Amino acid sequence: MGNNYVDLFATKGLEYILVIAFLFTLVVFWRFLNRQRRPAVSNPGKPSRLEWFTLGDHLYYHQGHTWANPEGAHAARVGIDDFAQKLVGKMDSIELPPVGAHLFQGEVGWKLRVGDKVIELLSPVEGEVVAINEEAKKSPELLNRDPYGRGWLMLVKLSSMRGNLRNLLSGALAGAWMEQTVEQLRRRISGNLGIALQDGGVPVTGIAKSISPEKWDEVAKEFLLTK
Amino acid sequence: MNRRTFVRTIGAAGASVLPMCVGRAEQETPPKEFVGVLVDTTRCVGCRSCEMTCAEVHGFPQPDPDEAVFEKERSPSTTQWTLVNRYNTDKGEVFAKKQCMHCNQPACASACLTKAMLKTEEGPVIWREPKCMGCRFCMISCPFDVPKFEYDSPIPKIQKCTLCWERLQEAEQPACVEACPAEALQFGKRRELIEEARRRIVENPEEYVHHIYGEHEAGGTSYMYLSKVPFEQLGFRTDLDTTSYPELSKDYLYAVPIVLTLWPAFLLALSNATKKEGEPGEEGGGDE
Amino acid sequence: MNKDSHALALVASEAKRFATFILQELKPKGKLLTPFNMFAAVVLLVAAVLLFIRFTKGLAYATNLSQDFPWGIWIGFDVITGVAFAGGAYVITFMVYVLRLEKYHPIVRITVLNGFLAYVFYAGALLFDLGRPWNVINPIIGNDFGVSSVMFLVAWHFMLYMITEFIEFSPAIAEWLGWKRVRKFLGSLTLGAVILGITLSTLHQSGLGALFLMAKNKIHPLWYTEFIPILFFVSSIFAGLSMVIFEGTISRRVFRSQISPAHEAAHDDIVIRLARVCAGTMYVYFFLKLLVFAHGQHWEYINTPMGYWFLVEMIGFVLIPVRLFTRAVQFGNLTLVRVAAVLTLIGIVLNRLNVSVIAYKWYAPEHYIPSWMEIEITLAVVVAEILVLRWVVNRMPILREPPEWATDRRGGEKIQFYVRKEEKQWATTT
Repeated sequence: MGNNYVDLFATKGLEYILVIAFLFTLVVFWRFLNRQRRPAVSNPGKPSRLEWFTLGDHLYYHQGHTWANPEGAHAARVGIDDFAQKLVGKMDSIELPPVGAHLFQGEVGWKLRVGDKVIELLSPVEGEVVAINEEAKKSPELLNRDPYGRGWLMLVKLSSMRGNLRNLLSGALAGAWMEQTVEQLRRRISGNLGIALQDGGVPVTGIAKSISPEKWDEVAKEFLLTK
Repeated sequence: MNRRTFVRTIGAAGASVLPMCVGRAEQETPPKEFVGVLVDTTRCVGCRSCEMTCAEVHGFPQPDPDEAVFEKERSPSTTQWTLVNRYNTDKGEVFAKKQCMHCNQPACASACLTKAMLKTEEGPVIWREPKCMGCRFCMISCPFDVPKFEYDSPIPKIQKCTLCWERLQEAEQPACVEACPAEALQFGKRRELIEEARRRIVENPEEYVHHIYGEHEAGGTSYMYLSKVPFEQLGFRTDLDTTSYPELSKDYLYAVPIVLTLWPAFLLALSNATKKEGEPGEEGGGDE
Repeated sequence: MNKDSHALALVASEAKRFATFILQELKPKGKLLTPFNMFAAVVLLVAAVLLFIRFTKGLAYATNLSQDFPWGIWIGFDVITGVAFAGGAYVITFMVYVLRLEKYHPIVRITVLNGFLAYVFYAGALLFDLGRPWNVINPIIGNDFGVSSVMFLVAWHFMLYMITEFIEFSPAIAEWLGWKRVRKFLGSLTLGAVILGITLSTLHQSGLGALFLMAKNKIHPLWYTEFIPILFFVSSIFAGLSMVIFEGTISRRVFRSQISPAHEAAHDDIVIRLARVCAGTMYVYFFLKLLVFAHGQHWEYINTPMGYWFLVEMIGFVLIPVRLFTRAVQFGNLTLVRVAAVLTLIGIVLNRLNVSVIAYKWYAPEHYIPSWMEIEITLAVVVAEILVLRWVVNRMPILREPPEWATDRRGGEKIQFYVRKEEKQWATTT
């Protein structure tokens, strides 16, 4: 001790090299950390191949899988969402209330017929029907092909825009709700349905039928809250 | 050769080979031990042969031989690496030789940013001219104020005792030690010198102050002193730490990489936190 | 063949245009024989002669340095104090680019320029002090890397910091030369350079203090402490800002023609804000010094001449400026701010000189006093720096607005430099 050479600063050179390496890699790491990634739930109506159901842009959704699209300050267009149309599948006819009829939010708004089964859907808004989509009535497959666009069902004059929208889901909340629905569905199907949906195609008979060929309307009503 | 002779021969041969094998396995190079010089001021008569020889060996002008030089306390200079001062103490006149102390952990060597000042493995602290840039930081750091600078030269050198390092390479003793007629200077391994010093103190306790100056001062030095009077009477600083001087800046130097790591990270985070909404991704990264 | 000669002609004409531009810019603007210019010429001429003597005959012929005092005012003032004064650069860039306090944006460029020039000139002046300056490349190229040395650290950080400051300043050069793409690229480097600059500054400001850590028994106990690095770092903050205030006062007057009325008004606001930061930092610094004093347990030294000198430094040049700054901020009194700034600057000079020269070997029978030649050369360095500063500010967009195409964009908004909105409030315009 104290009789031979001891370098007090033996590791200093190495430390400086390490620090320089750190500073250079910090830049890379920082860039990596700050990379903006698209959130997994964004649904601007452009479905990725792995997304099962799309949500339309800037729409307001009722948990019964119907949507409302405000038009102007006092009216809104309504329709059924992508999930509802895939659930029900090809429809034979649509039964819409007449112009002038009054709708109540959360109450049965219109009906879809498939074969001998009748599926009811809840109205997302409260107000007076002022127009009906004759085209969709004539060709129900519009609801399958373009549920948010040409597949609109009715134009409704709203009693109160704010009051109506307050109870509806939109944006991120709607996305979260749709994810929950998917979860719910996943639990119902045993996995054989996944194959049918992955290529973007829709089984002609509808998802509900694939779950329960006999009691598929019960299944549908369960999801659409019209049981 | 009969059987008995044969067995005896083999046995003898084997026995002689064995220690060689064992010896070779144990023969790792031990770290070199420092050499040093023990200065026993009780023996110094003030003849100044060490001064003269040092000047002669290293090409300096011969110091003034007149005794009058003792009237003032001299310091080594750019033309004189070592000298003897006369001190008037309680126990009469004492002569003490002064020069670089060749510390175990020299402040000057740790201060030198080009490693022009170097602590050699053998012990002596040397100055290497090609590297020095003349910043004089070694002079600021040395607790003994040893290095001297040639201010009056356009190509200035640092001058200080080298413990005759070049002579040591030739297996010679330092010039001053060889020249001393009174055996006041002893050269050898530092460890052995300490033992010798302790032995002298133990054998003649009234002759010596019970302290070896340089054993622990400044973390230990290679030049050590024995004295019969307290060392401050011989012009030695006794307020020095027993931890070496490089230790004083060690903590700071080791904090540096930590700052170099923490500050950029913290500043990057802060600059991200103060970013307003919708700003484009962070601007360019660091540059050196 | 035709295409080659055409391209060559293009390059040649570009080069010629560039050369003409540079030559034009090199010509002095304004009157040549002003009092300051003549004074500067004399100072520089004398310094040149002195430096010739210093390099041909040795340091002894131009300085009062000795074996007892290896460092004089070239180190104690030029390097150590000068670098503390340049601390404004890292503080202001921190506030503008990290904390994004856009209010200070107008003074960024002049401060960074000052900081850059200060380092260049003071590190340059260091070469006069070195005994063997041709070997200064040794620690840079690795002959040898003395990593155990604080001086090694300081030297390297100086070098890196100068490069960093140059990068921070380079957009102004690109604007001056009209190099748009280069300007854009350089602008993207700013944040990284700023972060590196702040880190390096922290280390070399404290490092200058750490140089004295090994001189434990040679500096008076009232100034020596293992916390010297921290004290130096903290004091560099308000030293730099005080210099920004002081220098700003002068340059605003000298370069009046470049500054718009809106800028003037905003500048007053900035000065008050900086004064507030100074007051706060100095207050903290005072308590740090008190802590260190208590920790050192050297109170018996107070009742000595050096003790009184210590009190002068602490009370006269730290406590009193704090009081003046606070008062000035409360009343919005700009003159008081400037007085306080000058006092602070003197205090910093005192503190740095105390540690390096005055309290260093305070026990020596013959103390170091700088020679007139050392003072002259120091003055010449300062004058030279001022001349370069003036040259740059008169040509590049430092105090006046940068060209339209060069304005930074942040978050899609264009940042205008000098828009006045509602009395002394800064706003970014879209």
